[in-house]
Amino acid sequence: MALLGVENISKLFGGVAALHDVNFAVAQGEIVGLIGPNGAGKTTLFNVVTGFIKPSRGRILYEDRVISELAPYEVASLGIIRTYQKTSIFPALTVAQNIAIGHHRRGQPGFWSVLFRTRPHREERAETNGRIQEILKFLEMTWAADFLAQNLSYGDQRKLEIAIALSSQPKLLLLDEPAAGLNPEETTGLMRVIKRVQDQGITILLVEHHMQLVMGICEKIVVLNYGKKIAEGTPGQVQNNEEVIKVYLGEEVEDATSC
Amino acid sequence: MNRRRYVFHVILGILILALPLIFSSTYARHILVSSGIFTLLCLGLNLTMGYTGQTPFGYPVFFGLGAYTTAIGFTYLGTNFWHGLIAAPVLAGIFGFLIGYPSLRLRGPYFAIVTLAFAEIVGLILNNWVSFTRGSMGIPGIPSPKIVIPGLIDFTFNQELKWYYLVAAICAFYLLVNRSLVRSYVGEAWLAIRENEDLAEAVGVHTFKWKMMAFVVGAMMGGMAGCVYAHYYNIVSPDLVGFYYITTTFAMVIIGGRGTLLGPVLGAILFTAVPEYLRAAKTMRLVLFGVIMLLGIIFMPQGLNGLITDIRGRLPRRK
Repeated sequence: MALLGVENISKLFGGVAALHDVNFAVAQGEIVGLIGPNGAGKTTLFNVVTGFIKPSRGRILYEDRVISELAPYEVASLGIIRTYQKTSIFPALTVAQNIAIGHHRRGQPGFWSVLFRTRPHREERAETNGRIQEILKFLEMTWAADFLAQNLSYGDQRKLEIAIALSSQPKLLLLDEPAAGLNPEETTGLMRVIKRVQDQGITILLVEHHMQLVMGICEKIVVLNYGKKIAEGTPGQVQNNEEVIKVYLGEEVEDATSC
Repeated sequence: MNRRRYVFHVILGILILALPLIFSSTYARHILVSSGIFTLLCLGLNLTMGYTGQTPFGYPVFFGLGAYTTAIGFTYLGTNFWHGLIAAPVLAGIFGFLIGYPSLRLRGPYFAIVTLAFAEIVGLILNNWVSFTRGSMGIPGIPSPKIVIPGLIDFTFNQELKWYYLVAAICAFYLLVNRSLVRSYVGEAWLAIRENEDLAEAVGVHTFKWKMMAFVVGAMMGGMAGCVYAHYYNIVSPDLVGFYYITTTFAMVIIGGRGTLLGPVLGAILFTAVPEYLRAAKTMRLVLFGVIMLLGIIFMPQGLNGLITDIRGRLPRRK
């Protein structure tokens, strides 16, 4: 059964179709790659799935439930968590606080409990702290707990983004170009992390330009171009798809003199 | 809590209790009380401005609403301070909710503008509905609070010294509430909104709800502060919602340290005491005041509280 279903999604910005009748499904436990040239609509699709923008047509199904009308925090509360293409963290807070915010949706004791520091509040704090340690260990970032997020190196900030997302215990994790700007070594590290996240039973939908990473870890790849899906399949199938090759490598100019 | 912190807190507590005995003139005590009232106002403002990063420009309107609630209650219904202490924050909170509901959903300057417009409207009403509010003359004769248990206690807060302890107690109450909220998942959600609203929303923080909570709690705090003001000064006037309070409270919170627990307290004390000292400079007073503010913003972007943390961080650590 598909965990996420993208059904006939179109998104028009004025007269421009950022997405045109896109269909695909993500199965439980899979890593699905979403690729395509810049401006193909990948990030728009992420925004539609996570509720930040409403589709013009079509619907998003998640666990057999239509979610395309929900607000972003409601989508998140169902376990769909995203990261951003541009590094997106809570800069002036410590790494531990950053991760604690990811945990926000998991524990919410009542107002009075917080005010009088009664047991639900204390339990939530203990659980959050435990979760922070767990995630820091998982990402080998224990050393960074008390650093301000803005003082981390670029590579570590990108890792922190994943840490924040993970601490909210997603079922479906949407990563928007997680490898952008990383050096080869960091990219290899990232691939390992993504694999280990998958091992925890988390389904992943991934936008990425780094082909080695995409081909290396994705079980299925969806290719978008100008808002349309032009191919879908295993890495092998996609690599040999003529249309995909045309988009990525271009085609011969037929006749330059005709104009 | 470790031992040093414990000792520090005890000393701080004793100092706060002893302060009006050290500064024993009526004038000095009056300054202490009025900085206490400003502290109340600033602690409420800090929740929205410091923690959620939204700017409620018209915030002192809740101060005015609270003051007028108890003043009008006294004039028309004969209520006393203690009724006002409940009614003022409730009313301010209701108005906070009504203003926040449409404007906190939007990003950008709308919230700031809507709160400012609301303050302006309330100011116009207070000034012009003369038959009800006495307009710009204000409502005088608001009595000092009393604690009366027949045959046992008959206590009136009629001196600065008594007021000092009353206001200090309310400040302590505010601080405890703020501390509880800030050091919980609620405070984390607020900071998340200030730092990166989109990301907060993306990991499941119901940003509207938490912004609303900070604003309404802050409005209630402002309302209660207004009630305290009314019974201390014995008079309320439409100035309470005007620009003087807007600029002063914002300066206090910014210079004191936005988004810190004690920053607003420091700011409120500094900004009440310093202008009084500058009275000696007569006409230059406001100019000097402006210069101090500018320098503060340039050299202490984190406010006084940040400066103190900074200095403490540079001191050699003792084990």
